[in-house]
Amino acid sequence: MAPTAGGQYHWISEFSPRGAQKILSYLVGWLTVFGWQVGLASVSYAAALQIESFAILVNPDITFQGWHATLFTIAIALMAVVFNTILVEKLPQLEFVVLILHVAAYIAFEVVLLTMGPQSSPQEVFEQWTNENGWPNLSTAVLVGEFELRDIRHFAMS
Amino acid sequence: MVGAAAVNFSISFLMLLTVLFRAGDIDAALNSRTGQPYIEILLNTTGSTAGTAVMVAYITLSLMFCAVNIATTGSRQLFSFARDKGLPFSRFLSKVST
Repeated sequence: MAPTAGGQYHWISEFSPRGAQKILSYLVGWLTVFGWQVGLASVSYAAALQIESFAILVNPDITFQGWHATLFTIAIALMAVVFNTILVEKLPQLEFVVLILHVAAYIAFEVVLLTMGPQSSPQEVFEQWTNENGWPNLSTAVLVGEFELRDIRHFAMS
Repeated sequence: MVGAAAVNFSISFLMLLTVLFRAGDIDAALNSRTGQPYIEILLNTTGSTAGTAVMVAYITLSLMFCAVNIATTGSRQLFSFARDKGLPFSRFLSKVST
């Protein structure tokens, strides 16, 4: 494995036919660079929505306007930049603490979910399919749902 | 690298199954007043607002650190592509200051 921060666009260049190397690598480079930039916006927005949900959970009377989420999103993205610039020397320690917290929380979530609460039947889990958003057929609904599934995986695994 | 993906998939799948077995009333979850179906599932499972609040607080925190990590990766990706002269202002973007 060659050490490269380029990732996908580097390997696309390695593995594509000689004539297409440049153009494919260039396109994938733009896609990944943009993908990561936009990813910061979308995960900051996701975190902003969690802040609002948390507030509604503890205080059901609270209401939020759209621009509240915008301000939360900007604040979280700014925090991410601060940790990568001014506080960058503390980043490795922070990552270590978060790693420990993350593994511990995974176990805690599993234990809580496995031991408490009502249980659905295996029929409901494995045999019940729903398509409530008006997609023409189940296959389309499943494929569109992939995007949502990736978000859930983000919540559980990130 | 393949091993990491396999482990990641396995523990994700375990969590997915766990949540599905605790999902309860899907419609109630989808119409959660918090706007997040998973919070309704946690509420339904733990039966405690305080307990759920702790779990949601952790997930919020975790997503914030996710933003920190994405900024780390994103900036390196940007730097790398600029170093290979793929972007406008590549010379400026690929400069590393100490």
